[in-house]
Amino acid sequence: MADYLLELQGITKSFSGNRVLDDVTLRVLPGKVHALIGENGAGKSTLMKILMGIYSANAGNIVLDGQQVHIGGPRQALDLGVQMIHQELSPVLDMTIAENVFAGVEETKKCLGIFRIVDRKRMDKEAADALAQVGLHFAPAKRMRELSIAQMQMVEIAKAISRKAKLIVMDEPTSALTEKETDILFDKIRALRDKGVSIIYISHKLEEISEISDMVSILRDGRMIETRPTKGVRREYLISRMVGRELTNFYPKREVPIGEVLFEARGIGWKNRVKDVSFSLRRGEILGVAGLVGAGRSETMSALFGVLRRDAGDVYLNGRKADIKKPSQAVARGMAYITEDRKATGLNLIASIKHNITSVYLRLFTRRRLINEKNEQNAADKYIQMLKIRTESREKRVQLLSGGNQQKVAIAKWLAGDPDIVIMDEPTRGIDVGSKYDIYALMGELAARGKAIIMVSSEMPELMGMADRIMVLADSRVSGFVERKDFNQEKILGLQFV
Amino acid sequence: MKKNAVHLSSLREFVMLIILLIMVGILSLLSPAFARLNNFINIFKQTAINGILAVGMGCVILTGGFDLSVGSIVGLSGVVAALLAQGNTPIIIPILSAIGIGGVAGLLNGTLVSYLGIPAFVVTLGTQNFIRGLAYIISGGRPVFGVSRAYEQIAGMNIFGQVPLLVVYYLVIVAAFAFILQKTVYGRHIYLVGGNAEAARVSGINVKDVKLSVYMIAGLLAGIAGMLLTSRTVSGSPITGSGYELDAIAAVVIGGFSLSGGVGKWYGMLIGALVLSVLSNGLDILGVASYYQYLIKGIIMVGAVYIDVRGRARMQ
Repeated sequence: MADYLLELQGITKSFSGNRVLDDVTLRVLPGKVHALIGENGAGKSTLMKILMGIYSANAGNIVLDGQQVHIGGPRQALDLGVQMIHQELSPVLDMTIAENVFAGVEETKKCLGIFRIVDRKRMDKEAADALAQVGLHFAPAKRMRELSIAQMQMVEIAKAISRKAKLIVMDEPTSALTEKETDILFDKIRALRDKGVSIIYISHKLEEISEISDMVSILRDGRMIETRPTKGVRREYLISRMVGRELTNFYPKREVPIGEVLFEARGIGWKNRVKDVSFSLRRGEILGVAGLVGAGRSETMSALFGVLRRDAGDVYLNGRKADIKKPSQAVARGMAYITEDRKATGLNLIASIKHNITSVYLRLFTRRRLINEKNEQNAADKYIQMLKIRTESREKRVQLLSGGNQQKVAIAKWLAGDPDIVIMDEPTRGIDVGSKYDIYALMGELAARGKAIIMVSSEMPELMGMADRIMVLADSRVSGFVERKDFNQEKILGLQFV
Repeated sequence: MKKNAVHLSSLREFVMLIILLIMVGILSLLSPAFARLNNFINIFKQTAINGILAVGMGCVILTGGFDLSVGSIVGLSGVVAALLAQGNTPIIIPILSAIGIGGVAGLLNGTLVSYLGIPAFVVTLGTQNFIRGLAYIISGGRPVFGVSRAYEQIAGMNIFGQVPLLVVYYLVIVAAFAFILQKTVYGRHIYLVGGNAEAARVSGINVKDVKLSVYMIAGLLAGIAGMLLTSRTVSGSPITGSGYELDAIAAVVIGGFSLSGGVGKWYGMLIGALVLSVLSNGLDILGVASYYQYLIKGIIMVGAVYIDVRGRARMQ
């Protein structure tokens, strides 16, 4: 029994009568990378929160090193050698690296014999040691703000090392990283593993799973479906186990007639981040936008929509110059913008699904200029059904939905106005396979109805699967266009590194 | 589950309504004088001024801001109204002047907060002082008496025998804002701006105008409150209204509003304001010294928020 480092035995958890984990058992061997996969809402986060002591389970045991333990909170988990690196890092940006590494466990020394004060010197030294172990050679007194997200993640790992973690949980660690940074991260993960540290690795990126993990566990609808060695397992198999069905054609691309030019951008510029971007877009077309993080993709979209005030260039609709300087003008001219970050710029998280869905085109749901409750309800029900949003009630707060369902709400609120031009920035980021499929299907449906779609994405398979044409941005400029018939991963990637 | 979702969003209002009813029940048992219809009307009358301010404050807080200057606006508009309501001057002149002063002050607050991007706390603390200063300068630091009989009637008159007009004004204002917040596109936009201003902007809502407008509302209602208070007390004093902004904030917080914006119902503003005045009315009748009333008010406010925080945590 003591062969395992960690055993979660028969974990069951319900929220207001809703069973989200049902008798889940997960066993992690020491010195292994153990991948945990499943659709959003499958229960991965809940399971990890129980491990970290953020939630308490209704039933089941946690056994660490052969000893049954009770974990009452993250601090206790830490003391037991269990550390979690969250998907959205939350460092204190204006404190130093050392202060972040030692946050909550500051080293102290005696002062004047009575007071205990923070021992900055020792913290700096120990932090520098921990950083060196992950190959970072920063001054520990450097402010967190000056680091890139990848570097912050390394600091998190250094933190885990400095606290002698035996088990590190990583939740979507690569979602904000470039490929090169991902490679570096993987090197560190392997180094940790070789030292006997176990890692629970949560990701939606199946290529990564097969690259980095030794074991893989699949959760579906709160149940543990299977745990097996990763070696030799096929991607299609994992997907089918996660969704419980075979996905014969993962990208439901529809061949639709491409019509006349609907939208044109000429010489768009914003500060130093967007330079001379021009392109056109036709009815029925899905234009993919590829580029590395920082290439100016989202900034370009924001400048087109008037969210950022562009300082060069014009937008043309149906061949005529359109005055779009702020979002309200874009909305009025039939444009929609599903932003990259649904929580920051897409949703009113504390409001209901219904109120979010009707928020953009609220006037459509009025009668004699007053909001009509019945119309609103009908619209909410319609889109909940159309986009397969999983919820018990249209009145549920969006905050309480899973990521995939939140994203569907963020899309639904724009569909209500039947826009002609739909900009989707990372429409499937951080969401489960099933929701992704639903969103792709919706894109095909929109294109078939003669809408024009711009899809910004960091995921090459998705771009190649859905787009008719891909515009590649590199270093704030357009570096090239590739037609669907010429799609080729090396070619598109090559254009990103101009 | 559906029931849960509904309860969750209005838990605090519900709890406070219960607490209000319990308070009324206990006070009625303790003192026969409390339970008289007359006294209930009196409670509403005592609620009116703070209640009107709470409506304005509620709108501002819904957008995630707040307004510390409303008490000073009450003072300035009250003084100006008293100065203009002398002799045979038509009462419309002091009325419109007081409301106008409130509107201008609100416009100033809104512009500074929304268009110049200065934090609401700083702006309204600044205008609180500035406007109070104007009230002292205009009145020469002394209360203004000699308000005309006609002006006195605005808030002093009763209709249907014993219903004070003051109460009618208050309830009309509450009803108007219940309607605006629930039924109009503008009202929904107030919630959306408070819930996520950036999402509101991307959705094509003019966030700056919405923010500016709520300060205007708070200012206008404070102007109305100052005008009514002058009528009720038949004088205008430059010190009137100091601290009223905090009572208004207390009322909406007790009534379930979140200081981070986006959460709060119209009836919460009503319940919150009533809780405060039932408390002081009842304790007055029982002969509890006002010093102790401060203690109780403080406990109620923090306790109300605590119950809410606990309730939410348990439900999730």
